[in-house]
Amino acid sequence: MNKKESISSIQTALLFLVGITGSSIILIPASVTGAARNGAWISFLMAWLAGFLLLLSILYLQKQHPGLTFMEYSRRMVGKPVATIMAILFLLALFWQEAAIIIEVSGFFKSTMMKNTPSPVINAMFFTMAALTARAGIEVMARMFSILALIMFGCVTAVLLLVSVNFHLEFLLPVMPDGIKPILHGAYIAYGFPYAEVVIFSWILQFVRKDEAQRLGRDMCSAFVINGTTLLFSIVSSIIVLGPLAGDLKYSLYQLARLVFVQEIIERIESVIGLSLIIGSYMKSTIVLFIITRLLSQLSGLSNYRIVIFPTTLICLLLSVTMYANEASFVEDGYVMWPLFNTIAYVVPMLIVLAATWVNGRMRK
Amino acid sequence: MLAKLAILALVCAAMLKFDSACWKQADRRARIVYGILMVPVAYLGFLYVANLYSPNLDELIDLVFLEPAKRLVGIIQISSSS
Repeated sequence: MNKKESISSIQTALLFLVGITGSSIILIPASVTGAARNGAWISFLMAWLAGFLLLLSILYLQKQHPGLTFMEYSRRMVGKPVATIMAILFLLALFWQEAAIIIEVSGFFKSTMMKNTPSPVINAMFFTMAALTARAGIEVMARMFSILALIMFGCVTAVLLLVSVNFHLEFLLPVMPDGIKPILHGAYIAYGFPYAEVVIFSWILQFVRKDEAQRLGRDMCSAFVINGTTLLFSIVSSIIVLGPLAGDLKYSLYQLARLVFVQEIIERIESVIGLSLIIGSYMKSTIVLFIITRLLSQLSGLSNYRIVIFPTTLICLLLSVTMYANEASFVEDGYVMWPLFNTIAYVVPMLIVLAATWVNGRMRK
Repeated sequence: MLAKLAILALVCAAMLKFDSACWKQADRRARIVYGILMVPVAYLGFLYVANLYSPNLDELIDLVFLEPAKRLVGIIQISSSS
């Protein structure tokens, strides 16, 4: 039970890939296109670049503090009191994020496929699976998610290829009819979800086996490029298929899947996207839950994080069923509040630790 | 309300039963942390059973961050009248 867990560099990169792609592949195209319209792909690229810089930052920190968790090297660099405050902010953001992932996916199923099923039931099923998987440990998660990630990306790729007959490249024009502001708005949304969340993956980098630490940077960057390519293609596909409706229809890939029609043989495949969303959200929520329990155990000085998994999961479940009385306030928080909050809660603490690490490194020289 | 209470009790009982093995091996610190985590469970459970939504985590976060975020988005958002 207390054996130190370790995973390979590729498995770490895979967890990172499914964590940042997870549910965003279904949810991001509509929200970014709604803000930036035909320029959504530019917004996305801007956000992706910001995420890439954050990825480089956490890789640098891991290189400077090999084998340590974010909490451990934060305490060393900025002192215990400041690190504790940062950890509490981190924790609040993680709890909100975990609940929000499941609220979003249950909202999808309530509006599309499971209209009569109460949301708490859907949420409870997701959280039960996430808790049992997180309790099994990161090695089990990494092995299991390899197969699930193949299924998820396979489904998404298949839908995007099948819907390519409906492409209208002229829908990409005009690119910026209202100037730069909509592009910036779209970038704000895409940055908040999922790219500012790159920082939380600093919590899984410590599990990489020592002999594979050298290739971690390369594998993580490769995963990030795959994520960027997939999401970019999803956003562009939404625009060139749905045209002016792209920003108004939620769950873009689901809408695209509904349009697939091949000789009356391949049709009504939108449930495939439902499958992708289930897999993606399940993997992402498991990873976030795992990170929450690791952070909690480090904050409270526990040797075994597994004991806090179920109470943490129950808190997240109850948050998901009690937090928002209506969808509008959730959407407002998700696309307006969250990018700012996770910048303050995730990015700013990381930047503080980064600055302290860099200054410390310079002083040693 | 009674149905929700019954479901919550069932879920909590299942959780405690599942964790009983870990609990027996846990040290004092782990048991204290577990007990502390049951406080938000109790509070959120009350909100769930009573069909209330606040005060909750989202409102706490909104208290600090929503207005500044709205202002930030207001700067980069084109107004609907233009």
